[in-house]
Amino acid sequence: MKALQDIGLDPSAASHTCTSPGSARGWFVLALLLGVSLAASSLRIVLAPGFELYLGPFFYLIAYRAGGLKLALGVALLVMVPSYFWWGHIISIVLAVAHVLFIDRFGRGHNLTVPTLAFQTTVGAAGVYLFLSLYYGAPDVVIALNLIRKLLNDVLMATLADLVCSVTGIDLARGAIIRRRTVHLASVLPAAVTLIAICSSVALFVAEVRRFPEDFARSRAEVMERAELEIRRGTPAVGAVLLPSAPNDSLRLPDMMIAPQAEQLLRANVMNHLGCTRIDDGSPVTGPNDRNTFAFWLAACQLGQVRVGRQDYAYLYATRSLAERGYRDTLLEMTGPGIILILSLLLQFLLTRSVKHSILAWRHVVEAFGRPGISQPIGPMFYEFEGPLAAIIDANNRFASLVDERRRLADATRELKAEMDLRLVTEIVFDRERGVLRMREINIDSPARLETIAVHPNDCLALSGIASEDDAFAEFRIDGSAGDDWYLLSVRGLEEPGCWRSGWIVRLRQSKLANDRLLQQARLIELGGMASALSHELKQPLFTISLSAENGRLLIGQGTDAGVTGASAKFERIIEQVSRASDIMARITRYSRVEDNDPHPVDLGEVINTALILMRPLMIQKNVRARADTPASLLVLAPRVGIEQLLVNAVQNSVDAIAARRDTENNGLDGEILVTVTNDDLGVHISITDNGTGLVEIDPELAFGAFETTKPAESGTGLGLYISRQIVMKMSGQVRIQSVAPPGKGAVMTIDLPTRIIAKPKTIRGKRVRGNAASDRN
Amino acid sequence: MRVLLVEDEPAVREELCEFLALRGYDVRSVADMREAERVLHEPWLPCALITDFRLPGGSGLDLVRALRRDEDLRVNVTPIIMMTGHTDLTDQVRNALDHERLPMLIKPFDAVMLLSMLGPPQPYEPL
Repeated sequence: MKALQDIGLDPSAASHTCTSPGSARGWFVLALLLGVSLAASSLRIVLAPGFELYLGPFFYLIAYRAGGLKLALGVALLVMVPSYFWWGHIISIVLAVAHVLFIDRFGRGHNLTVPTLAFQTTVGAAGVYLFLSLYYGAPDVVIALNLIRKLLNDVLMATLADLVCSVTGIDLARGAIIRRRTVHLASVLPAAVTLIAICSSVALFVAEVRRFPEDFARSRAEVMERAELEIRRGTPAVGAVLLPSAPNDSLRLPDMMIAPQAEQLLRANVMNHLGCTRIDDGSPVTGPNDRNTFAFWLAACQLGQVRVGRQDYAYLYATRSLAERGYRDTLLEMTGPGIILILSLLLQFLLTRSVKHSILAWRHVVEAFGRPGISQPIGPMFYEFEGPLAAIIDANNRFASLVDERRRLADATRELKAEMDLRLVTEIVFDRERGVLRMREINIDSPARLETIAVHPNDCLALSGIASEDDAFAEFRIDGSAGDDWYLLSVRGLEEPGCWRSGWIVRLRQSKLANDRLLQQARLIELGGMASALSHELKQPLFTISLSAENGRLLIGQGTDAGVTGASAKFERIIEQVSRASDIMARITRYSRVEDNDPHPVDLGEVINTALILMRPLMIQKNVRARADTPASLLVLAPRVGIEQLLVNAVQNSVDAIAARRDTENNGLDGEILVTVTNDDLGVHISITDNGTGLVEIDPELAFGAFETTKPAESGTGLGLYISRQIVMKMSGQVRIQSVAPPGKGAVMTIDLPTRIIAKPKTIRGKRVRGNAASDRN
Repeated sequence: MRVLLVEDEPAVREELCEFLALRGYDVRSVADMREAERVLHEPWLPCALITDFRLPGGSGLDLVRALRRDEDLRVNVTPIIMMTGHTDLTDQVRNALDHERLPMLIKPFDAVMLLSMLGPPQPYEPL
């Protein structure tokens, strides 16, 4: 029954506290218990002659549970001692000791009842049979009854001991009788069922057996009456043996000896003949084998006296046959209770088995919890167990599949993380002042980690833009990173402006070439914006050419020398205008190429002038005058096109601002743009000042936003300042816009470039200043 | 016919002036609005006005409106022809020009069209 022990279904383990007295108090309690045991065991509950119940086994079985083998043996010896005084032999003591040993040897893993039953039906039975037949020469029926009696007694005591042990325990170490906190179903149930069965058997048994003394006495009385009758009827001779009466007589008379005087009968030969060893003449009997024992009646001869006429007769007969008959009748009556007992024990066995199996199955399912695919255990189980068990199995299988799903989800997320550099984040905060993103990155395998990302200044605006959105996307780059990797941030669950509950970041892929292409596209778009001015610029020389040609033709048609000279001047004009147009084309073509943005030595003044020339048509159109205050021959290391683009954009914006101011004030304002360049240790500073509307936004930074524009749709994309900032950032510079201080009106764009100045401007007279050919041309 | 030409672009002004002069018109040309107003109030009094829309100091439209406010000028200075680059023409401008019933010529145009709009250089034969 190892499995049962493992899962705590071993009733012996359940009630086996097995302590030894550990303190004075313990010893005291032990002594007390021993005293109580002895006292109780000395009681004889006599149901009938030879049918007694005694409490000895109860106490030594309790002692076995409480203190182990040694204590049990000691107690067994102690409590069975009175039996010697009752019956005059030690067999009961011996059998009690054997009982304890048997339980200790074979009874592990069972309660007390079953091994007791086993013992009494085997060793105990053998012992009793041998003893009774050899020592007493008892008839079989008597042996049988005794076996039954002993069986019932001991099993009843064992069952009581089981019940008591399952509810209480004796802690000898502390010297206390404790009530158990939990009661084992597997020990209580069989014990209770057995108890009821045994008790009912015992009750039936007792009821039967109780009648025995009366019946026996009555049968003795009847015998005596018949004897007297017989004697009266036929005056028997002295020493005559009364023969048993005719077979149809219901009461068979035992052999009887008759004599005139009792003393004649009380002789050894008479007693031998009758087969008895003692005389029952009605006087009190004490000591072992008193009238309460079957031994007495088996060995006794009853003496009686009768007067017939005037003659006194004495008669003697052995009660043995009567006793035997009585016992046999009782035994027959026991079949009923016997069957009941057997059936109940069978029931108890089946019940216990089912209970244990149900519990085992339950335990098995619970232990397997968490593993997928548990199935219902088979075997006998109670209905009440089946339902909850099926529910647990179902819940378990669902739970296991969830665990599995979670594992797969974790795997998938891990894969995504690896592939796309996906990061799941919570508690996202965009700190606008410092330009950083703070968040807590969720990791499947490890605790959440705090992360801080410095955002590229150009992109801080994008994040500011979504600061009040509950569910938004934004793209950004990391500040200072070597690559141009773009990241996509998705946020959700706005808690405060710039604070979101959850989101994710994924790395987008973008090449440098795409960036350059973007810049080029921006330039192209700006060129488109200049298209009207350019178109006008080209139209003017064309118009002039057409007029000159008309005039020339007319002049030549005059046929005069003056006409020819005049015509010649027209040709001059035409050539000049064509040249002008070519210049414009050249400038545009050069501007719209994909220039690589690497820095080269550039004459800053010359670049600025070129840019202004490029913007001249527009400025003329919008009545804006531009002036450049630049040092001659300031060579810097910078990307030429980038600077040109900056200037072009700045001038474009200034012109638009001036036009807007003119429209609102309606005063024919003269537009002024001033470009100045200064240099110091930190680098060069270009400022473009205009007298336009100034900044209308509250936040100058917003102006640098992509597609941020206050201009009407046809006159600007809103990309200009955005691109400008990109260009400046690429040069590691800074750009900012401010409004001109009141009372003035307008805006100042300042570009700080920490460029390496190759050649400082020189104003040494007479010496040819160093510079490139372009500056000389200017 | 006395024609006042207002055009700020020098090359165009010169050629246009020569164009008309060669064909017999009495042309005076000025470069901006201020000069144009000065000439308009001189006894010379032009019969026709050709003006660019885009002028320094104000638009050609303003010149025309100012002109038409003067009763004398309004009656005497006809036709008035507006020259404009296409890009000057916003809806607003177009509406204004229509409202003023000003014919437009979009540069670059064939200058010969001017001739038909102005009419012959000597409309009245001195008797």
